[in-house]
Amino acid sequence: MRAFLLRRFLIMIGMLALLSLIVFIILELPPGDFAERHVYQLKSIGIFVTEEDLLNYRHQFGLDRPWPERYLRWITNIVTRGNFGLSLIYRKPVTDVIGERLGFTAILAISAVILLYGLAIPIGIYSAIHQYSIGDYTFTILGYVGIAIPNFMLALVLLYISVTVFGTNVGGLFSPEYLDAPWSWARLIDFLKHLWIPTIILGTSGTAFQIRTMRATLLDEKNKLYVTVARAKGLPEGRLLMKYPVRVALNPIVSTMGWELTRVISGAPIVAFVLALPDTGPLFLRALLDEDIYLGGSLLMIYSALTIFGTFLSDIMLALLDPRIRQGEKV
Amino acid sequence: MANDERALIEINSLKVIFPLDEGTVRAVEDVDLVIKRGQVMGVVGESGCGKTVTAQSIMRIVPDPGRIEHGEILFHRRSPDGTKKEIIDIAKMDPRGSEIRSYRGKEVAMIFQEPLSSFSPLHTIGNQIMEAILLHQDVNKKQAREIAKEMLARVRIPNPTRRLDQYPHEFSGGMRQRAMIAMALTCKPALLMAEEPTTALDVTIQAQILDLMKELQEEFGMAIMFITHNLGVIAQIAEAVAIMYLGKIVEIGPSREIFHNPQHPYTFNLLKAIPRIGKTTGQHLVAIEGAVPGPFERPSGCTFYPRCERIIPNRCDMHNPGVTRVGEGHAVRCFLYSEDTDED
Repeated sequence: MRAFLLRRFLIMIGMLALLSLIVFIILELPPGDFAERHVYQLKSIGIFVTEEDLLNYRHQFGLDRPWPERYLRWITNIVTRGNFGLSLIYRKPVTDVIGERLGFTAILAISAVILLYGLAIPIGIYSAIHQYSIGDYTFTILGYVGIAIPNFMLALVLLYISVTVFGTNVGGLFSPEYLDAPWSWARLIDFLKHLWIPTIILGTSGTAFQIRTMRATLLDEKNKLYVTVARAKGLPEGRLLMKYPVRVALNPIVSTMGWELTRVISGAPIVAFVLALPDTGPLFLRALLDEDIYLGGSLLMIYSALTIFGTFLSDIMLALLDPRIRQGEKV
Repeated sequence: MANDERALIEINSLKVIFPLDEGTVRAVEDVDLVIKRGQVMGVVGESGCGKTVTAQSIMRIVPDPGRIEHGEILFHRRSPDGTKKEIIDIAKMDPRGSEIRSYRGKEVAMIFQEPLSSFSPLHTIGNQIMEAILLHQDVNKKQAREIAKEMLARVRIPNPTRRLDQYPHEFSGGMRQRAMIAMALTCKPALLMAEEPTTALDVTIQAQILDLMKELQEEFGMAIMFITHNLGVIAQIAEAVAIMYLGKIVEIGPSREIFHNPQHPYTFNLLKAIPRIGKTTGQHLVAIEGAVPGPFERPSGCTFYPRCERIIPNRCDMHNPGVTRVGEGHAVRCFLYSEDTDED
């Protein structure tokens, strides 16, 4: 177990290093840079800018240095000081810009993933036990509808419902009166009232797939010999089901948890944009549009790091679940 | 077949069907079988003859959508000191109810063909054996662990204490089958059903497992229903043999009778088909003509007639042969011995 965890941990570190390089290169790829964008914006509001000014800006932003040097400085600062560099748009450290927003993104992603599995696992079990029943078909249809509806569409529908049925205000994570208020119970409750919409949108989009996974694996497992053997021992059906086939069937669910987290996180910016959520989504979109490589790069790096960390967590869970993985496949 | 003092399981005109979309499969039909206390009964037949479904019926673990259409499975229950006796009908019980669970695994246990997949890969061997003990015996976990350890030692697994905490993938095939036997015998069942328990093992291990089963059978005094397609194995272990073909018992009798004085043409051909070292050098292996009909193409009349060399025209293909007694405990379903029919 210890060797397994150590190996996985080292792989995670290696992946993060490689990833940071890829993130940086991707952000370097589009033609032009932030200095050009800046000059263009100044020109569009009627300020006269010379070629020399452009070079000055480039020097001022540090963009005239070769990219490997910039990459090294960026990554060294992140690792040694937790400093993600300066956002060129906001002229503030990236950490200040992201600040509280990252917390919202994390809360949103985690609640979406909890909702996803909280729905998918019990429904998958139900569908496998009651295969071809009305309930099974109903969940199947609902699940496919969930897959088919694009997230932004669902966001609009839920916004409509929240306004007409519940009378809450549209979008955001807080009502106007709590927007800049300090944290309090009332603010938390207001926050939760707003959180459910993006949670449902992000959570349900992956539910159908996980229901199908759970259902299919459990259908396979529940007819296996070890289940018959356990039944032949005289074990009651309910206990039998939960102890044996369900536990085995959790394996593919747990091992894809990392991917599911990725999917939720990468789906989040669009939903956040539609719902005007004050999380990192809209920030990320803007950073990409304006070629603010430090802000965009840092966010991309954080998103990816979360994903890799999620995969690491799912590896640990898998090892706890399955002794064959824990002991390194000696079969 | 007569009821007697020593009867343990008494199956009367059992019929098990599987209603499928393509039609109804009659997996077991009109099966009468008595297994006595302490007796080793071999049940032999080709794949799909109903031998496994018969055993599953005794446990009430017939897979969906199979169900017992009619018939009785009487279990002669006796308290450990032999004073209290009662007869319960397993066929009438709810297969998911608590009544069947107090019998399943306690009074009748079963071991299976595939020792590789008989254990859950995610739980230790000890956990799975102790579970069987805790379900049926009034002991605490520590005592259950002690019993499990003793059982593993009894089936000659070296280092039982360490083995208890290991997972199935750390056991070899033969070891797993030993552990399976240990698990089945923890509650000292009156009947052990063994479904091809040695088929998946290599020949030397097969012999060891058979010896072990014989030894334990004598020690515990339990009956064994030994299901196999391998007559060689049956000859080594069984006192009585039932030969099944397409859901029916076509011949039943003491082993010696079956092997030396087979009556049914099917039994006769099965015995002829056993390869013998030396005798068949340079010859083709003997096979029974034709193939087992598909489950939806069951012939009318005697189900074996299309493959039978001694068919009586207008009789075997029209009527269903009844059971004829041909010797002491020896009975056969064939028109060669009597004109009795057994019409539905």
